[in-house]
Amino acid sequence: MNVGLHFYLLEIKKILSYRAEFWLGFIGNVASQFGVAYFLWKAIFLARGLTSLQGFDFGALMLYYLLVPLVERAVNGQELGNVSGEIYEGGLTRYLLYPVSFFRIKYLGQLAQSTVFLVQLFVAMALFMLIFRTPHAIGIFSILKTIPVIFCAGILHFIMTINLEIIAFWADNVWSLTVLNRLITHLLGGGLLPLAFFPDRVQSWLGYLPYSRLVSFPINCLLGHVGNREWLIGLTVTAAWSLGLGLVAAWTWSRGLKTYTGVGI
Amino acid sequence: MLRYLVLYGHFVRFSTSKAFEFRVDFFFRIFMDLIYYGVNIVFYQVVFLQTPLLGGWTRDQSLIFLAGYLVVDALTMTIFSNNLWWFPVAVNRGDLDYYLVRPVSALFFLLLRDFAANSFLNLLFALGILTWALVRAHMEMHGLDIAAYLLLLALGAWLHALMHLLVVLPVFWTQSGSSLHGIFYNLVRFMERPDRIYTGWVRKLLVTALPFCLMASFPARMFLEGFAWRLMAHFALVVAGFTVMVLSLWKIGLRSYASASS
Repeated sequence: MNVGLHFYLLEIKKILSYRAEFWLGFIGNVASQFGVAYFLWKAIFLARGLTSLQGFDFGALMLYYLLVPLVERAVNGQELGNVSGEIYEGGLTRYLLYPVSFFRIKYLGQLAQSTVFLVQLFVAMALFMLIFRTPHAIGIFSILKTIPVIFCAGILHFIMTINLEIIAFWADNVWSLTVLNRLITHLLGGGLLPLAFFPDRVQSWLGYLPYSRLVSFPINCLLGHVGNREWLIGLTVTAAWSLGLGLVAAWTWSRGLKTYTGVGI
Repeated sequence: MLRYLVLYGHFVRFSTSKAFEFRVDFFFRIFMDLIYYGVNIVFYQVVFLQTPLLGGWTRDQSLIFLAGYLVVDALTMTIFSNNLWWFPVAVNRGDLDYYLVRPVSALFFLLLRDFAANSFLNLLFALGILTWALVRAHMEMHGLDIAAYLLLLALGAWLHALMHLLVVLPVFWTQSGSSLHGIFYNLVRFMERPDRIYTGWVRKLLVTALPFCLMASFPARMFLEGFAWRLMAHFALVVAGFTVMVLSLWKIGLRSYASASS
């Protein structure tokens, strides 16, 4: 069997080996994010006697907030410090000696997580629609359009994280930088609030940044709010950011390798 | 008591010098927390573009609540969080043995040994945000009101630490550490918003059995809306109740502790 495929399947097995912890973590995370958003926006809708806010009625807004943690997990995977850990502990030396690409192996690890989380995403969506009998039906065409978007967003997120993690060649700990990246992505990507709630000028500015491609864009695709032209533009922008940041990462990596001693902490 | 204060002084000195050995990490962590504060402030600013009131509070009042929450967060991060993070590891690996044989309270050692110097700087920033929010609000207030608010926030931080300890204490029986932290951090999300947005049984739960709404919301309510005996009694009862419960569970847990095989 191909080494990459073997590694990918092994990673999936690893993720599913602690099933109770895996499902508890998943349910707890989704329920708490959704629960807080539910009460917050319910209070606002009731206080103002509104039926919709910035084009979202209450049901649509709740579906959006349900999708946020699910899409974020599918795009991000869950491992932080995966690359920096190898640099700090000297594990990178193995990859420099073995005939396998370090980044290929690391990306396959993230892809395995994304695959499992994508399945969770669709299971949760099906349950939501079954329980709430929402009129905001998600069509099969939207789902088909979303899969490549999440796949490309996963690559972009991987490259963004790599750019931060390879600072480990020079800094003594980069964990805080990756957490910081998640915080910024959550706000500017539309995880904390739909981007439609930001002032118009800020919204257009946010559209140029890569963050919205990681959260808001996949969710809007899933909800059927993205036309074919916009979908193509979105994928192109994601690819352009991935390429640009990939070049930065390649340059930094080559500089970092020159300083790498392989000693480990 | 004095012995414990002197000991805590040593903890602070040792932890601070250790933190400065990794200076880049030290400043990265400060920067990370500052971004966290910024994210929260932006969140409230954007929410208030959609509504004039949230949980009965105006934008300025909500900023005071938010600043109070950030103070509680920074206090717990400075004093307790690192220690509580390593608590399950200490139990699982048998490191608790070293604390039990010392002639001071093992819980004191476990809860306070690591002082997060970077978070202490963030505590100063959080207090700065609180000052800014208070100035912005143009409220009539006395020094005593502010001192009482800070005292209630400190009690909120103590309750936060108690709840975290309560969530990780089952490690004496379950031997699973990391998933317990996950449960706690999921619940903490509920304290980030004013308590009055929650309704029904969820609200009842969040002010009694899982009192996350008490930590920042109740102090803010007493500061913004005037002192209320009912609220104060509720707050004091819950804090006292959880203190007794956690200390009792700690003692029961110790009886089940079997060193490294625990």
